Amino acid sequence: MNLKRKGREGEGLTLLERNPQIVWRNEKRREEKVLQGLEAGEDVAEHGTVILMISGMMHQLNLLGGMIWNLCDGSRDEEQIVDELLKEFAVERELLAEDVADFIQDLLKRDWLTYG
Amino acid sequence: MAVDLLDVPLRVSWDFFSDTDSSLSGEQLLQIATALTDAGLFFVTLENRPLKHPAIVPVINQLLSGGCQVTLIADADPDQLKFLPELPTGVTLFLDAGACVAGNRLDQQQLAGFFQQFRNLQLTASLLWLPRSGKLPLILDFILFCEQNGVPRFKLPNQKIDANPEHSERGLLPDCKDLQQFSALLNQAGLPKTSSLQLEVHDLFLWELLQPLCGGERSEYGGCQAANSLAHVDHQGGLWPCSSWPQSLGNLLDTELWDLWQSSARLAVREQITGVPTGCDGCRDYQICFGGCRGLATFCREDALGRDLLCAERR
Repeated sequence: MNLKRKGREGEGLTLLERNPQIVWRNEKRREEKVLQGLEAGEDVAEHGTVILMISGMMHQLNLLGGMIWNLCDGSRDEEQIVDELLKEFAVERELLAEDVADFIQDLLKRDWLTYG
Repeated sequence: MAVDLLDVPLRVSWDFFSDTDSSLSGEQLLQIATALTDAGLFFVTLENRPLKHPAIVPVINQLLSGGCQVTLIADADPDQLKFLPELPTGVTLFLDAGACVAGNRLDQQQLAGFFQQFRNLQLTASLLWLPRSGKLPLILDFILFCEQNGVPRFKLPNQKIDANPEHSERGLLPDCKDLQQFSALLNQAGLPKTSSLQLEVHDLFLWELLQPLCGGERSEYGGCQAANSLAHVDHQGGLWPCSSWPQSLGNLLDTELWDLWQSSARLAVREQITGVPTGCDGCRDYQICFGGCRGLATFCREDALGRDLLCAERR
């Protein structure tokens, strides 16, 4: 992993947490439908399961993004998040870790996530 | 990623009183507030004389404790504003300036007096005005007023219509002729200069004209959000797709919001919104506006074109 902690590099903090200014919620009904689609082999990457409101703009996270978002509660580092996701998805760890790293990097850049 | 069908709305406007001053009991209002917070709504705007209701404070407390961001629209009415000191902190306040407009003139002195009442209470309020036919040039007066009086935000909301659109003073709704005249005025006079005013315009076509003052993109605009991220609660607890779509989907006093939002009536509204209105067929800009306000187009157009009331023609 070559992620760098934004703004406070070198302090050794690795636990990921959501920006508390962001209001968000899980779309449970949507998630059920997306999971059904996934089971049926459909491409569900473009379907949102978590809604976030940021500066008046609505954003959606897809199933994997939403799961990562939910896991970023300040109690897990990136490796632990990958561990949790491996319980849900039958996928090689290396591939999953790459996707998780890209997603987290993107959210850190947007200040939606921080290290705490 | 396109906006999917949401489980429940994100934003709800909520009328406390009818035009004839009837309302629910405090207990019933709290039941609705609880239904909204339990459903996970983000934003609730309290409208139609909420300050007059004796249960306003417990209702706001319920909404805030449930994680909702609360906005309250206060009328320019001394009898209502006297209840301002009782409001909990954390509520975003708007003053509806409608009562300060007489004919085509804005009574700036009267409006400034109301804003002074807020300041005397150490409260910050923003300005709200519902654009009316023949009066769009007043928008420029309001912008200048905000600049001169340190009002931080100015909002031009959507046109609320009654369950029976015939009662909604249809003649007062701005149309494309109003917009053309306003556009000509702006071309001639130019937009006023503003420093830090935050201008929010609900109508897409009006927003186009004022966009240099609004800045940025339109919030969450992927087409009409009635019956998806938007909803409206009337003074009896009835749930509507939005305040410009006069069709009740059921009542929050006897049915859960979650169930009403999965009902066939709600899905039919979304199905209708998914279709391209006849009057938009082949329009170059459809992928920008998606037909604009579908509620007003459905219930208030004289023809069956289904195009936004402020849209003059296909582009």
